[in-house]
Amino acid sequence: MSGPLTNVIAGLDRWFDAMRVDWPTPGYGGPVIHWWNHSLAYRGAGLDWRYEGVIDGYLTLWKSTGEQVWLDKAIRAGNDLVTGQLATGHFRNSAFELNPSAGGTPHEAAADVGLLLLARALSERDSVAGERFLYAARRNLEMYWFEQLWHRPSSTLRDSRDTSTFVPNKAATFIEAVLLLSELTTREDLVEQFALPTAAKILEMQVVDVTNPLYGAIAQNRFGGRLIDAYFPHYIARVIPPLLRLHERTGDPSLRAAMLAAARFLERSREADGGFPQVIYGNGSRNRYPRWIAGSGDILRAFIMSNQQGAEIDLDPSIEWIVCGARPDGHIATAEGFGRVMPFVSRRDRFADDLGVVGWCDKSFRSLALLLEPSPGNLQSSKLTSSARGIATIDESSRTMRLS
Amino acid sequence: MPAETTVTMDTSAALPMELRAALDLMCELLAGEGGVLRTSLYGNPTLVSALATYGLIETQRDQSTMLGAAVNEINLTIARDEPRRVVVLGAGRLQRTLRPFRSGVMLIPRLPGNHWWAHRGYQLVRTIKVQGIGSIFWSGIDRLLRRFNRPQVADRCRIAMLRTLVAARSRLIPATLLIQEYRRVT
Repeated sequence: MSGPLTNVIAGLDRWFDAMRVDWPTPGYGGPVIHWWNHSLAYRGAGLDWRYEGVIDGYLTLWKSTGEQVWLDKAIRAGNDLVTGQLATGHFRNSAFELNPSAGGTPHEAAADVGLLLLARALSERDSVAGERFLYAARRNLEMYWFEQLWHRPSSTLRDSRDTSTFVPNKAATFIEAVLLLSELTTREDLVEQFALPTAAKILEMQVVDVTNPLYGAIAQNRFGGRLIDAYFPHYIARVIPPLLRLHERTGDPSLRAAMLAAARFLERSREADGGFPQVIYGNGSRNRYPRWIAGSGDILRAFIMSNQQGAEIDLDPSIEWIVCGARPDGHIATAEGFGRVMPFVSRRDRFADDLGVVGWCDKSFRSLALLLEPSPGNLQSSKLTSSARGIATIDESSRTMRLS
Repeated sequence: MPAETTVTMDTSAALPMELRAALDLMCELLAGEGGVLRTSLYGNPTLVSALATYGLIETQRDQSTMLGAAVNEINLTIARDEPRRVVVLGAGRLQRTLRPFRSGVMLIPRLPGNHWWAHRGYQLVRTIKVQGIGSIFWSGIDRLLRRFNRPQVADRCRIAMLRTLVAARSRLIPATLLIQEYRRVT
């Protein structure tokens, strides 16, 4: 299979630069489209989960190519978060589709992941360079997640201070942040105290009956003891990489087995064109509207990481689904089917399909960047920023991308 | 119901959805070039500070925006500033009807009528209604379907409820919130 993957990465990089704004703090702005709500009126920067993918993607490009420009862009994104951090530890306008607002979940934990990945990458070169990013992430995690959202009596990460809602994909993002913080601060107790109990609660919400067609799926959330019997492929995918990392850290084979079962469920849910339904309910019925395009980069990333653990999932349909969503200005379309969510009522929502959203495109960006074969000059910034003429091919055996 | 972004701060996203939708509309109505809101903001402090997070505010005396302000505050402001354009957010007829079902929700005052404005030299140029009977209908169906364990249809009804928050323009249709724009004619 061959395709213009380099062009897609180049286009995204170009488009991210075009989405930079200066108000209220420097950062990536633009509209936000989501299933329930859109944020179309607010015009400023959003310091939310878009930073996880932007920073991770640029760091991956930097490691693959050795070009300083990618590290500079990752640092610029990290600086956005540091500049926009409030005295409370929150990040300004971190609520994505509910912006303008602060204290968004899982967005602040995802921003912490970006900061910690950056701090780790910089610490490998210079022990001081990454400290401000580590400090910002640590402040947010300690002041908000550990102090306010962590319910000590039940060792549960709550979705808000006042309710006992538990949401696996948000908890998984928190686990990823905790693992990185633990690694950078050499505090193993954080894994014991936060990551392991949270992972156990996520696994409690997985379908474990092998005769059930939903085997491997993870329920969307729980209000107290009441499980919500709905399974969102995108959110299940967001659980997989953090728990696989926890498996690597602890060596617990049950985590690996559970996450491979989740990945297999996603593979079974994938439709012929590579897209995924928005939600599959407990009774097996599917809601296909809308089907994420740019956001399905998270599912591709889950597949890539599952394959590293021996899952052998075919990536091609998912790559093709994303690449087909690329638009001439460089962004990847958000979704397909917003206009069909509710007959007649949501017709006016058709515009939402094609709109570019940084907080969805970052997911494609970082997953496609993973497919780049590590080699100096494999993806030169000059090629990306000028005309992006390179054509990429996907190596069938190693699942990597080469320039031709 | 799937939990998406959750906020725990006292900001615009923590407001009831109809107020948040009203602020979105106010922002669209007031934003000038570059998204700058050129106006003077008055009224309920929570709403004022929430709207101020949407964009840069460039204070202009001849353009007043009053969010959930009481009638006497509106009266004092227009007597003092004599603004050329006034945009107000207030309660519609449905707020009182829905009040028993919404404990703890912020209540905002009703707006003075057109005669009151005409007496002070202002003419109504625009009314936007937020959360009319269409949206409330979808909200009711959503709750009913969840009670009968039909989340797949309920989710769609919830989206329909959100997409119909801006109500029909007909004068006869009641709404929970009203945004009105007046221009000085004398």
